[in-house]
Amino acid sequence: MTIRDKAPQIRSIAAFDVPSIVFQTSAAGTKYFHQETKGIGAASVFWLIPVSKQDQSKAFQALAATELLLSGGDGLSEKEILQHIEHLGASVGNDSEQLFARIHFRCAKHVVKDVFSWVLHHVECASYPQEEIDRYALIKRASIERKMQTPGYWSERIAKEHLYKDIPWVGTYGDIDDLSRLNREDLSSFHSKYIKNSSGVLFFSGDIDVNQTNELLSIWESYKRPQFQWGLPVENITNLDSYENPILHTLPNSSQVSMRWMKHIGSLNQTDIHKFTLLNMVLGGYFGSRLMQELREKQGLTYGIGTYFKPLWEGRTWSLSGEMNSANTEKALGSIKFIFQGLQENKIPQEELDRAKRYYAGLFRSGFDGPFAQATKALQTLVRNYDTHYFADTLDHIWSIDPDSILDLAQNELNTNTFVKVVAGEV
Amino acid sequence: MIEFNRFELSNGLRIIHQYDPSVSTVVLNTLYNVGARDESPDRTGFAHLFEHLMFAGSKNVASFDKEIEQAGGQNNAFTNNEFTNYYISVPAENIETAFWLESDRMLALNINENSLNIQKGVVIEEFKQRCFNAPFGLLWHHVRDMLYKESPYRWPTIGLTFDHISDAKLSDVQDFYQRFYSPNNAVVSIVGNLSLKDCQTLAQKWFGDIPVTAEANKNVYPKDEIWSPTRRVEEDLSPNPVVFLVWKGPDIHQEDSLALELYSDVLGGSEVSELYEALVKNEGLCNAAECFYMRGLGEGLFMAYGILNEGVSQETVENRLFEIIEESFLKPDSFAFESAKNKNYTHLLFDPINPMSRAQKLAFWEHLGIPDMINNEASKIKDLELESVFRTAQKYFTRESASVLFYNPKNT
Repeated sequence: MTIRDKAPQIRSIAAFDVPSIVFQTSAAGTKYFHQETKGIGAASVFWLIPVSKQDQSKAFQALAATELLLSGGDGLSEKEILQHIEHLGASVGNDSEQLFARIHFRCAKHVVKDVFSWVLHHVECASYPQEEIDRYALIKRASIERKMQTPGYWSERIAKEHLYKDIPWVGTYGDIDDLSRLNREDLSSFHSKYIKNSSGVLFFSGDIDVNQTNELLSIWESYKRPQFQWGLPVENITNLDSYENPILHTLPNSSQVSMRWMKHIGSLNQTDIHKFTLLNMVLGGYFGSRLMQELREKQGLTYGIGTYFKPLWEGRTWSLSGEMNSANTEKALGSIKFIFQGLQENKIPQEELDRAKRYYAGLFRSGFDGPFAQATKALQTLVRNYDTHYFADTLDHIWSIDPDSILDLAQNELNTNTFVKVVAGEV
Repeated sequence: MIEFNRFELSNGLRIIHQYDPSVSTVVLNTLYNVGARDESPDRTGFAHLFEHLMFAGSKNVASFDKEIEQAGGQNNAFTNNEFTNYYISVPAENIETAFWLESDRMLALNINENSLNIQKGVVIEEFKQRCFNAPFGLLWHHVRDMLYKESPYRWPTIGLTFDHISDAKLSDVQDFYQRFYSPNNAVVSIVGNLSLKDCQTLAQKWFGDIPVTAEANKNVYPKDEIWSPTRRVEEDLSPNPVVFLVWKGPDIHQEDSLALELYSDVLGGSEVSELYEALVKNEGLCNAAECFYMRGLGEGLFMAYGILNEGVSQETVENRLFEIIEESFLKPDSFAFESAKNKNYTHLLFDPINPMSRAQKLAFWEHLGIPDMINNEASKIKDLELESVFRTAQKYFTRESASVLFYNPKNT
């Protein structure tokens, strides 16, 4: 008979061989990352261009210039460009993040060179036909208008605009009417200045060997490019405002409210990142967190409530969000404040902190599994400005954090008045 | 080629194992043969509510989530009309915790009035969030109600109304558990850094003594013998009007279903497809358009839709959708057909790389009794021929057999 009333012994992940995330530089000076996994037949390539919303002179300019990179060029229409990519069985995407633009594709090993050459060529010679811009504006507007029907969209937008009003690359949503004012000149000039022949960093992973990597680098370098240089974003924000009451936003036809709290955390050193991450987990970062356990599992007030510690550059946005019946808003607000207060007044029990550390360590190690994982880690080191020891030191940092330091952090950071609070929906 | 092992315990629990020493984790995935189609019509949403209760603790486990997190792992679940799937991913050295937890809630779930009432509240909030607060939130309520009259596929997984959730009684929950959460009604897949020998030992230790509580689900359901297509107009949060065309088709057990899935990829699976090109790009009638085929265990469903631009009539888009489908049969697009096959090939290269995805697929195909399909899917698609695929689609997707749903923006 199996003895079930005692949990099996658990081992903590105290150490493992953390793979080194090392960027290489080609003879011509291109920075790149390569991780090969033989035999899977699948390859992933992406490159990052240091251009984003912070460089735009008009709302939606960076987004549109990136998302329309394959909308036409070199005498070919968008359809012809995309059809060829699909015929090669590849899927391609291009997106504009807060700090950079990324062009990425996935394909079978045997077509990686064809796909790379094709995509890169058309990115370089993007011509932005006006009819594609007009259509894009229409489609994008409709898509944003659909999002605008949800309470969650408004709670996030209002909180971000309020908090980051002085940092356009974070806080600017843009007026959707601006979409229809975009023209070819806006996008072509942005492309010429920031994308065409831009510097970039390349990431190759999956079933791509060194020879293939070198071939792709040669193609990349056949375009004249400067050395990669990151245009450091302006991120200094002083969180001196005090926000006592929530901002209310009524949305017709909604049957719930979306609650959002948000604050900015300035530039962090690497130990602090892990301390914040652990405090975030205990507060609302996983199913066993205090917010999930109290508001969902004990009171049944919400389907989901969580806190998120989202990187910007060296700083982070710390937010809380949850959807609930509007009649329960006050009750939920009271419970959230009580949980914040509890973390400020009482040292977190060692057992609770250990659970968060074990979870974090497990997540951290599994984040290196798989043929594409290291490229993702490499991207993180670049766009979050981690130093070369960041991953190697992570577990030591995690295990060294004690309840006293979490209490200090909570006392400094969990003052509820330092969070912008928004309640949107049926208010 | 994915090599796997299968064995069955004396209580009928089927286990499928795949060893992958390249990862640091093990996934333990449990599929129960019970979904929304097994609910009674006045207790819809029950299978999904029950999924929530499976995390509320069992005889020897006070908090499922906390134990998993303590072991450095993650877990979650999903329910659909046909089955309920629970998954755990843990560091390989702590895999025994996953066996302990999953087996304990199969053996003796701890259900009481309090946990039931709390989870009712949670699920009702989920219902509102998904169905009432976003465009298309009630789409599957409308579509299923149009397509089925007798079949239990006539309601979506979340349930017809949240009153059914409110009305759920503890005795209903207990009966449901006894009836469906028996080891002979489940498949467990284990994928990752765990040897077959260790897997067999742990499976026997933790699942071997769980008694059978009921016969395995035979999956027999009322059918709609006579069905005629319908038309309906509804209001929705979508700011633009929408036209949906919906057809019933063959389920996953029937050969035709794979051809229809590929056909839907060709016709409207991307932004260079004929459907998108015509409605969005060339004619400017819509700001979004696509089609897809759902291959379920007991249903097949084809949907084509367009979200309208301002000033365009729904009748125009309805007519164009039909015409585009009909035109596709007259001159099958061989280039798009080859592209769709190539994309599927690439997708099937990537899909099993993730151990979670591999575990879920293995459990799914084992549940259907065809585990080798994990290795055969690509060749099945490769073998499909242009003429036959379009002929098959032409057989099913006629104007006469389509149901039509119009969405109009809700007045604010």
